[in-house]
Amino acid sequence: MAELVYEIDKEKVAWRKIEGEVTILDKKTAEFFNLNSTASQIWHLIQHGETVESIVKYLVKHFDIEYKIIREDVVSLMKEFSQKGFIKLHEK
Amino acid sequence: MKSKRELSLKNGFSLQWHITERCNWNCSHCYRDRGYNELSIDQLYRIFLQFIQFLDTFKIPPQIARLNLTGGEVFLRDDFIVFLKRIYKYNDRYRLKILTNGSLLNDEKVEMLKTLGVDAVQLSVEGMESVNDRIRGKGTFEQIVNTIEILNKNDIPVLVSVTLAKYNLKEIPQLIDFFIKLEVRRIGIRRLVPIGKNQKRLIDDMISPLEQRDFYRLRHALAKENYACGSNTKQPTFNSLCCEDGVFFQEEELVSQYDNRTIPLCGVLSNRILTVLPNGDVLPCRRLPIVLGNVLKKSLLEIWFTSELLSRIRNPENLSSVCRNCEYFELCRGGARCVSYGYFGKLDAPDPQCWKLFEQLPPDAFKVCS
Repeated sequence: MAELVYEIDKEKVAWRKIEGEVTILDKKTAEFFNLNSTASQIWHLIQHGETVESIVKYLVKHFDIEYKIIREDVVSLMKEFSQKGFIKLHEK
Repeated sequence: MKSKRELSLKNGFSLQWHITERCNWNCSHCYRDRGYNELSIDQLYRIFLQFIQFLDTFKIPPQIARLNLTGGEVFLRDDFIVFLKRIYKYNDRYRLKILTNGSLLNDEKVEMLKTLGVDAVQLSVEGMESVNDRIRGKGTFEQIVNTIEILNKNDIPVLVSVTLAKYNLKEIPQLIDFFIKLEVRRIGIRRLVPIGKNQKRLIDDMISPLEQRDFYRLRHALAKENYACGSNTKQPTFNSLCCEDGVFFQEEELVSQYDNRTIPLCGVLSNRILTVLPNGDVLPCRRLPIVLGNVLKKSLLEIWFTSELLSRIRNPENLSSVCRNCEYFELCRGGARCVSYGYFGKLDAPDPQCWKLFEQLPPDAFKVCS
């Protein structure tokens, strides 16, 4: 069965790593958004086509925080990215 | 997610936009080296809106937002005035300067420019009449003088740009005196950048590092003398520092008489300029011929933001260790990137006219840069 993953909408955004953190340019509104280091890591994983589940697993492995809390944070961030139109669902 | 404050452009922004490469003069040292298909007026307008978007994004106030329209010769475009009329509604957002050879300007056109919000016109000269005409063509000096008179009559500030070279070094005092009398607003004495189809000839015309140093001293002495002469507030400035003058900071005694500078002079390093060519290609600076992208494919803002090459050029850490270890580095920042790149063909090279490093122009770049 095909898996659903988020992908970055390159028509909508451009991004760059500045001092280790990702800054996103919304090309439609000409606004900049700064991601903190964890959000920058998540952005990097989205860029590499990772599923929500694999992003959560990666973070659980690297941070000493409960699975449930991390999952909530990741889902919430993905929702925000999605609402802003930075990412969209895509069949892997 | 928060907006990124570090991306603010507090030093302003200047776009130099070459809207045509056609020219009616054939100056022997010109660095135009390619034929371009010109963009239509609608395409130009869309690019112009990208410039406005850029200013909006960074909330750049009009006093430090600059649009310099140039060519080739801009007035060869039949639709140039139409274009100026079209962008006029945004005129309070930036300062508009036109760089032209002036040969196609007459009273009627200059009056028109005045109504279209042109803040200044810049003309270039190469020296006094015989030197200038040898490079720009017979009769061009006289044409330049006539154009200055027309612009003065219509109260449009005139800026004169002179490129310092072997052939005009000795007549700089005479030149300054001549243009002071013509009541131009500013005489910009710029360094020669060896790029383009005449690169080899331009390298031959470059003055030595010690001559460059002596020029700065002379200019300073002339300014002191002129400003001491009286209270004529109309006197033009001719000793202001230009973007290629980083090496000047070695002259500590003279530097102390300028305001403290916290940003590099070079517009590329200080992140405050971009150039658009007639085909939409974007360069970090007109005199640093490295294409970063094209505004027909990506917006000016996106190119400025995403170009890895531009970030690399702007990062002082990427400059030669010869420069980074120098006591003047914080102010000089490696001097003029354009001159270094033109001369050595390398972005991290030191300034070939730095008299702390060289007495004569260095013959072998690799010995210095490795």
